[in-house]
Amino acid sequence: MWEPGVIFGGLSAICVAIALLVYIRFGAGRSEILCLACWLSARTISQIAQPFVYQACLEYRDFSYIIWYSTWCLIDFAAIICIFLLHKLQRVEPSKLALFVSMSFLMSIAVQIAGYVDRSILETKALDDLYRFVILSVNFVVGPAALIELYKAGQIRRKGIVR
Amino acid sequence: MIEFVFLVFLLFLLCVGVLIHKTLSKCADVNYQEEQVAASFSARSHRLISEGIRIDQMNYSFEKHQAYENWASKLYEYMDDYEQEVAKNLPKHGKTIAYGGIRLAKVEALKETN
Repeated sequence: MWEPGVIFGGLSAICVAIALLVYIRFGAGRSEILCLACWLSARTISQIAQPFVYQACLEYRDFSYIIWYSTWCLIDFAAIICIFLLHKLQRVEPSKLALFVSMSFLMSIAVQIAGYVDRSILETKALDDLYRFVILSVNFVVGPAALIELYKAGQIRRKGIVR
Repeated sequence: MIEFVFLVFLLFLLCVGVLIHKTLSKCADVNYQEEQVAASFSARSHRLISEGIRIDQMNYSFEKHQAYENWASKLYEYMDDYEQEVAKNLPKHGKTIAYGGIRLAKVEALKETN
């Protein structure tokens, strides 16, 4: 396990969970609730699946790259479809944050493909650092973005008399 | 061989993901569409602003009056185009049924004829 990845991923998940709870508490921003719930679910599934996928990679060494990269791509792809379908079914217009989250999943798929090409087809391992840091950034950036969007939307209301 | 087959599969996933994202962004609300269109019209709006400042600095004369009239007609044309573009990008079955005096159903009909 790469420690910075776990720490920043956890921090981002906490930020998203806080934003999600605030949105649900004030009953506003349905699009934001849907996209953040999808993001949180996708990341939780990834975290739970990670040791199993790692084990599978160790067992089937010939197909390890295929198993590793395609799993994350499929989870990200499923998350994009979930965001889209939930918005359609609930008849909600997507917010900026929903489009941002969807774009972050797309970015993640693109980086996974780049990593797969580098490792499995070109066999150079030249993009190892790029893969590691970009995936970390893409995972981390959603948390602060959700909090900033929450602040901008003025969802955090002050109670009582404010001078 | 199997690596290339999986690469094609992953690229297919990416392409479908991009398509879904584009469809999702087309359903975005009015504020988002206005920002997008304003960004794409920025060169035109900047030209209008600079022209307006130039006319403002001219001495009062018939030419200034003429230039101002031309500028005002360009401004109204810009506003019409802006509203039409935003209306075109708004979702078909969304909450907004009209924008800037344009009925969205009419825009849909125009799209189909084009």
